[in-house]
Amino acid sequence: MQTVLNFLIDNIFKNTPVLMALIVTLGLVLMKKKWDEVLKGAFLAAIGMTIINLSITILLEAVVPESSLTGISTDTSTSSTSDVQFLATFGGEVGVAMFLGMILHLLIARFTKIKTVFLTGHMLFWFPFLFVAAGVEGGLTGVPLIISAAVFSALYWSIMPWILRKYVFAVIGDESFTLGHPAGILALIAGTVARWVGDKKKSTEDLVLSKRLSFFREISITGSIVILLLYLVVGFVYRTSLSEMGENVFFYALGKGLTFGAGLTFLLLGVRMLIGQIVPAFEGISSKVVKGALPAYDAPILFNYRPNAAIIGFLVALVCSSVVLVLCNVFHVFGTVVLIPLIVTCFFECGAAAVIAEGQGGLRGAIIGTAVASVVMVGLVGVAAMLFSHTVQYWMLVSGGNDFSLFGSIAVYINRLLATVF
Amino acid sequence: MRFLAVCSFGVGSSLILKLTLDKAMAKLGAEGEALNIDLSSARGTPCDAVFTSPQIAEELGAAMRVPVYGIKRYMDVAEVTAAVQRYLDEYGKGK
Repeated sequence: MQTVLNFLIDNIFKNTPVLMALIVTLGLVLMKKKWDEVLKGAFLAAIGMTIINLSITILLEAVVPESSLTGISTDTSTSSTSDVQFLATFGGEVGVAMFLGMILHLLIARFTKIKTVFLTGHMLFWFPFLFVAAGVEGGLTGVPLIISAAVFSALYWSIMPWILRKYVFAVIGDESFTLGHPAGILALIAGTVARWVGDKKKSTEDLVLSKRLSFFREISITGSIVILLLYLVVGFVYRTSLSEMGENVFFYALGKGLTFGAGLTFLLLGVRMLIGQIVPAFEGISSKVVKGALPAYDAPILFNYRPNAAIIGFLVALVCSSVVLVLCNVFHVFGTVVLIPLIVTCFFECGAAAVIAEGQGGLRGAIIGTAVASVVMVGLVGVAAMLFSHTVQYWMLVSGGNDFSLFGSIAVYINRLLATVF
Repeated sequence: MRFLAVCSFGVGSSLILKLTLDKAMAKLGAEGEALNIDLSSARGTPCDAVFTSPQIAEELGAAMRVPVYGIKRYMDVAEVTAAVQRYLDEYGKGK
C-alpha cells in the first residue's frame, strides 16, 4: 500500500504535466467530449505545463544573478524554498488546489446569492499558486495546505467580482458581466475616490491621445524593459562586482532584459496551452450547473469600453508609483526589500482601476482615483514582498501591488493561525 | 479557415473571444478553428483573419496581410457573428 502511494505521489502528484493532463481529462469527460478531443486536451495541457516549467528556468536565469548581487531572496537555508524551486516543489499542490478551488467556486455560485463564474483563465492558475505560497509561508503542509489554497482561491473568485459588479455595470451600461482580475482592490479605491472628487461632465474619451504608447500592451517588451531598468539600477549600485566580472552594465542589463522577455513569452505560451484546455470545460460545466451566472472577465475586455481611460490610468500610475517607490527604496521603508517599477501592474490593474474610476467621476475622477490607488499599490507590494520572502518574493515584486499582495498577505496571517491547529 | 483571437497576454480576454468565435462559426456553419494568441506572437502566425479589440486592430491592421476585425464586446455572439459574416462575404469564396 505504502509503495503504491509513494509511486502515485512521485509519478503523478509531483509530476505536474501528468497531473494537469488528468485534471483536464476529468473535466472533458464530465463535459461528455469525444475521445479524440479528450486526448488532444490532455496532451496540450501536459505540454503546456512542461513549457511553464521550462520557461521558469529561463526567467530565473534572467533574475537570479540580480538577487545574488543584491542579496534579496537568497535565503539558501534548507527549510525555505525561493522562487527558483517554488513551482517545481509545489506544482502538484497548485494543480490540485486549482481543481478543488474551481469546484468550490461553482458550488458557491450554485448554492448562494453570489453567482459569479470566474472566467479569466490565467487567474485561475495564479490565485492557487499565490495561496499555496501563502500556505507555505504560514507554515502549512500537505492536505491543510491544499485545502487552504483552494478555499482562499474560491472565495476570491466568487466575492471580489461580485463586489465590483455595480462599478463595472456603470462603465459598460448593461449588466452582462463583471471584472475577474486582481485589479479589484485598486479599482474599488479608485472608483470610490472618483465618486467623491470626480466630475462626470468631462470624460476621458473626449480627449485625443497619441497611439505611440500602445507598445506597452506587448507584454514581452514591457517585461524586458522592467528587467533592463532593474539591472541598470542594480548594476549602477553594485558596479564594482559587475566590472570584476568584466561586463558592461548596459549590455549586461539588456541581455538579461531580453532573456526575461523571451522567458515571459514562453511562459505565456505554456499558460495559454494549459488554460485553453481548462476554461472551455469550466465554462461548459458552469453554464449547466449555475443558472443566471454573472461571468467575470479579464481586464482588457473592460479597456474596450474606455480605451483612453486605460492609457491615462497607466501613465498616472506609472509616474505616481515610481516617485513613491524611489522614496520607499531610499528610506528603506520595507527593510531589505528593493522594489522595482510595477510596469505590468500599472498597465493592467491601474488601467482597469482608471476605467472604473472614469465610470464614477469622469476624467478628473480617473486621474485622482488612479493616483491614490497607485500609492496604495506600492504599499501593498512592499508588505507582501516581505511576507513572501521564503517563496515567491520575486514574482510578487514583478506582478504584485494588487489583490495578489492584499489577499496573499491576509492569507499568510490566517494560515499562521491555522498552522498552530493543524 | 483559421481565425486568431488576439489580446495582450493571449490568455484572458482573447480566450473569451475565441469561445465566442467558436459559437459564431458554428452558427454560420463555417468550417475551421479559432485560436487565442498574444499580440507579439500573432504577427508571425499564419491565419485567414484576425479578431481583436478596436485599438489593437488599428495597430495590427498594418502589420498583418489578412483582414483584421475590431470587436468591442468579446462575449457578444451577435457582434462577433456579424464580423465573421463580413469576412465570409468579402473573402470567403473559394475557401
